[in-house]
Amino acid sequence: MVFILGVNFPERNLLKKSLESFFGVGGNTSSRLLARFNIHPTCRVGELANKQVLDLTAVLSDMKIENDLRREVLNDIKRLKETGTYRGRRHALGLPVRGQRTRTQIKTPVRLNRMERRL
Amino acid sequence: MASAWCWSCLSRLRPTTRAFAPTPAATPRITSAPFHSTAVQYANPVKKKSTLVANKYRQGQILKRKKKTKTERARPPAVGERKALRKRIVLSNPNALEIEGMKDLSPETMVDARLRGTVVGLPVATLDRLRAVQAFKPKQGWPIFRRPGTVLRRDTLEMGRLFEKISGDGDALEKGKVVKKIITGSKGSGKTVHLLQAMTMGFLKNWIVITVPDARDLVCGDTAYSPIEGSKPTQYDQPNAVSALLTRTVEANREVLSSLKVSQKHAGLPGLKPTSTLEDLAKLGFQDAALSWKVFQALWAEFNATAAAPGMEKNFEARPPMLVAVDGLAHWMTESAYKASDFTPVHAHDLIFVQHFLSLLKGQSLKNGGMLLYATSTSNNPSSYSLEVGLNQLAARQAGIAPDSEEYPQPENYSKPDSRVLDIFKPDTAKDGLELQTLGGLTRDEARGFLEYFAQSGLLRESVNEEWVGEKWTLSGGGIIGELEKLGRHVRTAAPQPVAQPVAAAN
Amino acid sequence: MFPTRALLGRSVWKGPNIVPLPLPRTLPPPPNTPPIRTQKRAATILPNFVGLRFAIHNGKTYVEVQITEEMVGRKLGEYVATRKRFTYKQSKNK
Repeated sequence: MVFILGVNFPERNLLKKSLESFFGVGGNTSSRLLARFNIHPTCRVGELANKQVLDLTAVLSDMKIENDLRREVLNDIKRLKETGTYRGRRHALGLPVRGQRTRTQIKTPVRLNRMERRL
Repeated sequence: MASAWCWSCLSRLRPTTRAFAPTPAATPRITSAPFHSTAVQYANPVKKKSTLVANKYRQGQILKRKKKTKTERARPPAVGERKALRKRIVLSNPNALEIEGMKDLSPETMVDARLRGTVVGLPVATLDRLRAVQAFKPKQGWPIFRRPGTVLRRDTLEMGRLFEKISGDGDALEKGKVVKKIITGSKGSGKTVHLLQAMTMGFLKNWIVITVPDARDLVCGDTAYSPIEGSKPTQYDQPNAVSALLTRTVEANREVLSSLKVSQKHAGLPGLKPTSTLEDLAKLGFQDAALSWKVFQALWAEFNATAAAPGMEKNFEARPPMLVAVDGLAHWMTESAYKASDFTPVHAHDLIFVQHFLSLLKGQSLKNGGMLLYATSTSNNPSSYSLEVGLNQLAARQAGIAPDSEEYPQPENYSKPDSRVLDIFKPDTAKDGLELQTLGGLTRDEARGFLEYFAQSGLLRESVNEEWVGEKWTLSGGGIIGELEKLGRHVRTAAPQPVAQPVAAAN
Repeated sequence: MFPTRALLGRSVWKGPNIVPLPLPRTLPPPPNTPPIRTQKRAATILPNFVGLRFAIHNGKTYVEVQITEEMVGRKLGEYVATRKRFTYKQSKNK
């Protein structure tokens, strides 16, 4: 088990996939992170040297990920609602925001867009 | 239970005469076997009940889903088991017939032109060593024979003669020569097996054999890499790949390495004594991957030593020639899957380990003589335009076309050839003795010998005669050995002729 | 690959959509100035609009909007809805 940013990862897991388990780290970011520390793309978590773990943790803790990112996104939505924009209203009504049709197929906004939005 | 029919009623039914029987045209008979119901079903298809109500807008339709039933599943195989099964190499099949009088590949047979076209067995003593250098590939048809064997074709015998020359058995002048060859050929033409034959010969002649069984392994991003400090442009070291190669080399060449002693002082290698053997030196590398590149360099210097450093002459013995075999060269002629820290791809030539092997193609690289065999591959092959051009140039030079003539192949206008790749095939490499060897098909006689081997192993039910061999030879695209093998292992159940006695081998 | 979706909006070389509007001469405007009536819903809200009152056309009437600092950079029309929420009304004559 290896701790990266306070999360425990089994040694057998792919490092790239493990990094992508953080909210806000996707394929591109994780590849770039690996390249930055010269870690090969198919590296397992267990193969990491101690220094590499520390480096990764240091960089990840500087990035806006997980709860910080969630808060930022929620604040943005909240601001839209408070200033009374059209987009904010659509968020509050549980309707699609970006001009999609509403006749059919709006399951995702119905599920996600609500007054107390959660991510 | 009593029958609903009364027997007397039944007996009153008069048998219809043939004349009254309905003609076949009137009632189409279903001409299927009585136990098949398919045709009957087709004849009277059951009409589906049209229960579906027309779908109206805004009328919700309830989605009916079948609940997934949980099925008992066997546990998946353990980690690595599938891959091990995929990569497993089986070299023997007890069901195949043993061939009497089959000769082994040996220093004598590998140059014997009389044996051309026969299949010789790989010596049992070398099998483990060949496995260690990963000379066998999973799909080369080894598991259909009693024991592994290869056909002695023209190229093999020529190579055998080269081995003899470089070892100094024949002409003393040729001793210590370096032969550099790039081996190409169409799919199935036996490039990898050619390398395998070379390795076997290397073992038989007590050479040092170093192999890269798949060039892709070094560039596909599967092993760790780290930049070398202070190099410009940045070069990269692959510690795990190097230590894997050291392991392979030691395992295969243990006999040679343990007999040779260290002849120089190597800085930065603690634990190395003046009396330690080369095996001990190599072992330092695979115990500690961080040291592996340093160890490899030291080992390479030892292999190429022509004389001992002052003060260490006591234990010095002449180094044997070396065989370096690389399979799948094209992978080294493009950008690798590794990324630099600014996320730009790393060129394969920037990987120092790869660069080491490529640099051998230039100059008098093997001081004690030997052979470099770099084969291209046609399975899982990246397209490398520059390599294509380079090989064409090499072929043109070999055919006697001057580099400044118009016919000399040049990269197309506006194509962006990789200058680093083209550099390898520059005209001035001609004096370094870089050669191109294209493997083609077997000749008919060789093909006959090869197919007889199948017959003798009990794989063919047909008699191997001139006509049949000619047919197969043509079908295989002019004796492409991989295709011949496919035709040979195709067991026929209905033989056109009675089973012939296995034809005696040509020898 | 897109660098970011945000760049898919209006081209940068065009700059913001600046529309001549009858802004008051003195800032801040004296009390009891009437709001600025406009139909230019696509006009970008500039920093000097902050604090002003606009009456923006919704297609039928003019709706008053007080510009605050957070609205800068957006469009006037974003703050005035052009559609009515659908409500079902019981019709009398069946």
